[in-house]
Amino acid sequence: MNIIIALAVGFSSGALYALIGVGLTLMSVLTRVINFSLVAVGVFGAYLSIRTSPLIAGASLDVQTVITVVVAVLVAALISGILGWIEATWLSEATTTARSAVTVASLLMLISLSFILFGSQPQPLRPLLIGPAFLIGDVAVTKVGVAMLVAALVVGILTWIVVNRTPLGIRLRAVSDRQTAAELLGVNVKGLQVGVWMVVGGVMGLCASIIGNTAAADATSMITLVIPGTAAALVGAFKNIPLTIVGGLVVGALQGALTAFPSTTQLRDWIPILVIVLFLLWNQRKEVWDVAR
Amino acid sequence: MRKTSITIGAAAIVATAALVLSGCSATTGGGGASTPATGTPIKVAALSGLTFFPEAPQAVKAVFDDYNASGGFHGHPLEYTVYDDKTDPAVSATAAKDALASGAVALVGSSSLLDCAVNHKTWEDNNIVSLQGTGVDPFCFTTPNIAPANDGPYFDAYATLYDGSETLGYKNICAEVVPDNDAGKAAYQQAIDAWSAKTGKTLAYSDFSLTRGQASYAGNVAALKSHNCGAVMITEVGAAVTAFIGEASNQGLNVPFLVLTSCYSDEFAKGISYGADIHLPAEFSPFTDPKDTSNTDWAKVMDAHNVPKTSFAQGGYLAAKYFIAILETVKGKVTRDSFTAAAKAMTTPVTNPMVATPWIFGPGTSHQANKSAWPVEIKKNTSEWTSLGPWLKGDEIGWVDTKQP
Amino acid sequence: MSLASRSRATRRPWLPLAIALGAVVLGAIFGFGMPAYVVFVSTSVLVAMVSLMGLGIVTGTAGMIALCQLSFGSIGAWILEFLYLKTPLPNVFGPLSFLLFMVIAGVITAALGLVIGLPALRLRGVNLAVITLGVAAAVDTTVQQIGFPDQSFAHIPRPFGLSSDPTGDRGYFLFAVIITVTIALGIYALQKSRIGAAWKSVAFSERGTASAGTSVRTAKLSAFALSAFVGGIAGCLIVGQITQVNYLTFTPINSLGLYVLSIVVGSQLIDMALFGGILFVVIPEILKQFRVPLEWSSVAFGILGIQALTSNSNLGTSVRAALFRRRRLMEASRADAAGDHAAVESVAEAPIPAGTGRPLLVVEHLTVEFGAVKALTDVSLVVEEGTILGLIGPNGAGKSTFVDAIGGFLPQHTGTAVLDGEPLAGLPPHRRARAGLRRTFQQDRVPPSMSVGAYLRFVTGGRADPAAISDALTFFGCPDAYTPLSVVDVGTRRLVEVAANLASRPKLLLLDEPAAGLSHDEHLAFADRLRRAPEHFGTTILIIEHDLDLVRSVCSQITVLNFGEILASGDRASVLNDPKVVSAYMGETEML
Repeated sequence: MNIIIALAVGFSSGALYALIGVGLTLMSVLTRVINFSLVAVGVFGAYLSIRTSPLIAGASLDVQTVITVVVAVLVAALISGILGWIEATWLSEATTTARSAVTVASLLMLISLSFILFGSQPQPLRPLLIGPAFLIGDVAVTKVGVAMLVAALVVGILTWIVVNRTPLGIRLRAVSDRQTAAELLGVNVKGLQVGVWMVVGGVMGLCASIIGNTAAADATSMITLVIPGTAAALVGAFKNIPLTIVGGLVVGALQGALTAFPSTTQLRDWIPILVIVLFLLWNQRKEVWDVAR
Repeated sequence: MRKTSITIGAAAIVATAALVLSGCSATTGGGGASTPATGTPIKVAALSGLTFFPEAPQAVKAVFDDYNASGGFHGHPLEYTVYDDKTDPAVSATAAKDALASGAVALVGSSSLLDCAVNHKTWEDNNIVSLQGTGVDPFCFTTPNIAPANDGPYFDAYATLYDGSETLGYKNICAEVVPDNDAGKAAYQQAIDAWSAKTGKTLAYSDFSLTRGQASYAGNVAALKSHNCGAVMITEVGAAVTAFIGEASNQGLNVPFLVLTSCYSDEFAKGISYGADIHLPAEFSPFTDPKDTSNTDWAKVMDAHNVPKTSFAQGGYLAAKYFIAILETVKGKVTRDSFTAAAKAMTTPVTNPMVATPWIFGPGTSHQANKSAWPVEIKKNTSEWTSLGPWLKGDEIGWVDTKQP
Repeated sequence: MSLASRSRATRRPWLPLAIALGAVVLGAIFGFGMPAYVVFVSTSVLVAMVSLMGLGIVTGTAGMIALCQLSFGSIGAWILEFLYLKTPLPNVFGPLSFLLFMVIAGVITAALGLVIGLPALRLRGVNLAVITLGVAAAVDTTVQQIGFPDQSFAHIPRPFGLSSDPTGDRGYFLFAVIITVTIALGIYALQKSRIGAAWKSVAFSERGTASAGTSVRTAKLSAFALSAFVGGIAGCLIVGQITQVNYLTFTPINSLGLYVLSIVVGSQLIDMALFGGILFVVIPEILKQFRVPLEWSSVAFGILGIQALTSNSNLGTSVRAALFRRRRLMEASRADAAGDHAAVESVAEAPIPAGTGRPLLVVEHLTVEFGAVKALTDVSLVVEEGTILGLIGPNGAGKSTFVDAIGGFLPQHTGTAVLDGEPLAGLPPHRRARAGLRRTFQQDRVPPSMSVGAYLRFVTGGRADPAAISDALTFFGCPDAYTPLSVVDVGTRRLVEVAANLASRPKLLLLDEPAAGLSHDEHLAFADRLRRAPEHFGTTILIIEHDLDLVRSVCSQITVLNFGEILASGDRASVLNDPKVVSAYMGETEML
């Protein structure tokens, strides 16, 4: 297969990884947590939203779509908010490891619940966008891919503006840097943290609605998209959003490039992990154990 | 009920129709006992991957409930227990021991991706038979103590390829196969080879690299695009096929898809929006066809017990009916041994309008009684099934039974 | 194996062996007495228990998040099957094959664990979680694609010719009991050993571990490799139990479930691993009885996990802490009844120690830069053997940076440091510690999962005998050796840290604000003990301290840092009366 086609194929998944990576980075910077449940809440919101379809069957198709998406975003934001509330209430002073471990437990719960609620039967989760955005000969760049990249950029830029240019940003930074100090200054720490969780959760709900059932076989496999997402975020060291976007695209492109060589399909699944390992070895080569602990 | 119980005889067709009628209608009864059965229960079990196939055992339960309500077997009700195998061999093996320990006389309507492979030897060791509702792995069709009610994916793959190349005239068919393991891969390969031998055609491209729960099909679709496929045969289950076809749309690949019977549900049709036809050989007569009458009783029973109407429910229903047919030939006390003996002594098949081939257990070392399929399709840019027909019968289209790898 | 029995265990080393033997006998009675189905399911309990014990080493003892325990199981199972079906070895070793293959599979899995763990060396706990989750997913799809050697049609023979019928199930249960007990004994012994102490220490603080002279790298890698070894064995046990497997036996979600369960019960403790194994198997069994989808068990584990994490406790340690408090209460009441109060020694105040005149640590032109910020500029100083040197200065003066640089935690610095004639340049922290340079930390870095005695044994690297340990504890008025550190208050923990480091008799000990958190009376007692320490332990001391009273009362020499530069240095009186020093301190006071 042509390597150009392969790269274009990789671009679409890479853009999705980038968006997930941006979400992870945001949460890591603003709430000190590596959120393994990030994609799960989005997928959960999207899959639950299609349960509303019998209630709104009378409305026109466009109205139905809008309502479904809104429900998806709200449900995802709500689940994410509950998680954030748990973290902010009981683990405000805990280490990043302990806070992240909670999201591992909630990931386990969400995966199992998605098995119970959605099973492996096909779900009529129609994607918002489908089809190629443009074709260059045989090379198709998908609408979803473009949308994901745009979303990643928009979220990144908005975050930068909010954090660096608004009074809210100052509070957000204060909360993540010195939580106790921020509390003493009268900042509503818990509210801000839960707010961040809800916003990022909502973005993931929207993201899951856009890709719909075209990304993976079922809710559970969709949830595992968080793995290449973490690879992307690690390239940005869970701090740097531009690097994260680049990282997502690189992981996607590498995976895509490998599809040009069908004999290497097994290697494809190892790409995220290889990127993570190589990058970490390089990035942390000078550190001498943890300072934080 | 007991009057109509001799379904296995010269007038098999007539008798089965009578059984079908009486089986569902507890109120009308068969003339004999119409009071509910209260005697010592006869225990029956099933092992199912409940996340994949919840309807199959529900359908069995529905049939048994009606049977018990109309008097059961000489006053003995059927007590039905379903064990979830979580599609995990370890859980499945444990569940098998559990089912045996419970004193089940037979397994009915089991539906699983791996039950046969994991437990067929256990069934043989314990002299118990399994009337599989939905058998998937090759061991469901190649071992002495298992006889499925369904066609299975290997016959399906053959039938859909045959339908695609011979009836629909597609050229350059490509195949996307999820092999599960070497045994599954070999069985699909047998089906593909048999198709090549019968039709003289070969696949333009075949990809055996799909895995269950794959996160992205982008690479597979890109490979298909570069091989100029005229149609794509895919052996995945419904949800995964939806994702695969979605990715095909995304990349602008609009060629007909040839899929297997697990996609045959209204949910699948509703979740699809695709710019080319999707064809499928249904394992049982098409329940989505408003003109179809062969499913009337099945639909009535399913509706009465709130069981979703899918092909898995059809398989479970038929397995339960076949079980009752064999049960009523058992002489003396119903035990594991006497039931197995009755199943293996079966000489006359049971017929049912839902399938085109009569079903029989019998003494063989392998069982593939059901080998017929009814073509249906989702026309391009629509979201519902259209019935096509006529029956594709295994003997007429050159099907060769799966051999144990 | 409660705390009470643990302290007895040190007096009665045969106790674990006796318990193990009892467990095997019980297993035999159970295996041949219970119904076949119960025995078969109980084998699953043992398999889950072995997986949990392996996981406990990494998550419980060494404090990392590992999400690929069953991937190790699948690798081990794959190797066992490969050896059985694709090699002529089964003919050679006959009935012993299973056992032998199991060990080989475990060792190879451990080697792979090392490869996976290697990047984790440089990784904090969370990043290890990311890697292991990725590994779990990748192993899952890889195994799914290449398949297991049994390919669902060959049944793997059981060990010692056991059949696959119910009689064989019973025999295999006994086999699994023996393997499980052996592994439990091994892990128990390791946890009691120095390497086990290193795991506990690394879980709490990597820097603390390194400065106790233990390689963080070795501690983490050994934990991860051993965990992989045990995981591989668990995979082999599954193969023997059901005689064939596929990738779904080892699905990543079950790895997640095991991890969460490991946190809930605290599976580093053997009895809790057994309890966890029972939960892992019995909850789904109960659900099965009620016809509830088995996935609800994972939901339950998830909820329990969140509960355990938010309350920062697990069943095992909670039970043990409760038992210990009860025992101490009982002991205290007994002691009161006997009127047995330790007499407080009141001897004359020790003088400030005078040195030998020999320079022990010579630091020249030490400069540390963090980007554009210079934390230390051209600092040179000499510590005389046998003295206590005070390093003081306002907040942000660079005192802790100095200790970090000398301790080896800041490799990017210029200048030289020579300890007792030996240059320290390029040595990692644990090598410096072994060369006789120890330090304590401003923050609490004493792992609460150990007992006081175990912590001293760990820090001294086994060089101190029980008498020396008890001497050091008495010297600083620390709690008894068997006291768990988790019940010791923070101020006293600092004393234990100081005592432990002195008991390892380093040439030089760097104390970073050791008296923070002590009351005024404790302060005075501490100062007195410190003055005796150089002679008692043969150790020279450099102390960073904010409390000028303490510095004045123990140090013969004082160096003052301000804005990363030496402001004054010399004997106590002249430095403290230096106007520059006074103004620097007054300035800070005004700011406060």
